[in-house]
Amino acid sequence: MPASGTAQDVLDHPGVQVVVNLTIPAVHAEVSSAAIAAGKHVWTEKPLGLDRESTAALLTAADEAGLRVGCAPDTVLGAGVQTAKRAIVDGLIGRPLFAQTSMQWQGPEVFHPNPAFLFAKGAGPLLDIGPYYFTTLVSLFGTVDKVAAMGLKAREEREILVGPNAGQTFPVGPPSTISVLTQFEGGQTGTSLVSFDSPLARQGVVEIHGTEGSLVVPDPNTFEGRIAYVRPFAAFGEAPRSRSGSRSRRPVRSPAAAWACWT
Amino acid sequence: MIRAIAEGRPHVASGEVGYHVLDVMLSAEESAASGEFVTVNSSVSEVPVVPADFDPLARTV
Repeated sequence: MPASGTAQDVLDHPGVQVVVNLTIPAVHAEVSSAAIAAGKHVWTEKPLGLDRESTAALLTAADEAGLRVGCAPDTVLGAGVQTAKRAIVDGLIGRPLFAQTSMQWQGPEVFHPNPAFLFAKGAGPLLDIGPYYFTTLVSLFGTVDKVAAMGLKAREEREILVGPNAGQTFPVGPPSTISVLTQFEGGQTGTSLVSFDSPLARQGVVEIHGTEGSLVVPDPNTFEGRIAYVRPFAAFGEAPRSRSGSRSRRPVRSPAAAWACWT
Repeated sequence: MIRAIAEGRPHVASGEVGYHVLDVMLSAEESAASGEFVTVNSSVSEVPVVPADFDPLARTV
């Protein structure tokens, strides 16, 4: 490693062209904006920022400077989501209609010795884990027009369970369980649950349903995994019907190639 | 993103997508707090498919 130092040292270094921003969410927009001001491209951890104003200002400044801003998660570039996207583009499931996603478990304090920040403003299951699911849905369906959501907190305070501070309590900021309905510009709808309050663990659930079939997409917090494709029945008790027309009977164009990229 | 810069094309995991996703999530928090539907003001261009022959392990610089 040719050099090391503080964040400012990175910004001052003439040889640095791209800054990778892995700071805490509360300073994502600030640190990324400083990198843009120093003439560097930025790749940042999710979320891009915590409020619309400073995050929009970051993108405007980058545009004006002719610099790039890239944002995690890049798992959506992996074989899992990309294979699903190619299948949808190829018409495998007909017209995409709706999606279901789920990420639920009892929460990170079961392993994290300092979990308070994961329940503070700017985190919670929605802003901490939600980017994997909503980036996937936006990658597959495009722009979201409208949302509705309901949230709750199992407890206003939670307890640290492991490590030297075990037994201490900390406050819960945003909802620790939230159900989100999304209406997409293209007419699709989505139902997404994220929860740190569920004794039952069920994560990585992404299902896309269309007129000609359903896709079970791998966990968007990983780059790959198995995809399942479910065809509709011709009639109850009969074999699943073949897809209409010979054009659409060809296999998905590229999953083998896409998977090969990652193995 | 570095390869996209080198090739002079847009990158896929863009700030535009990151902003829209943030806007969706903040809108969800606001909806949960208010009990109302929330219109999302931002939008994204169509997110391109990554080419099937893309090799994530290829050297970029």
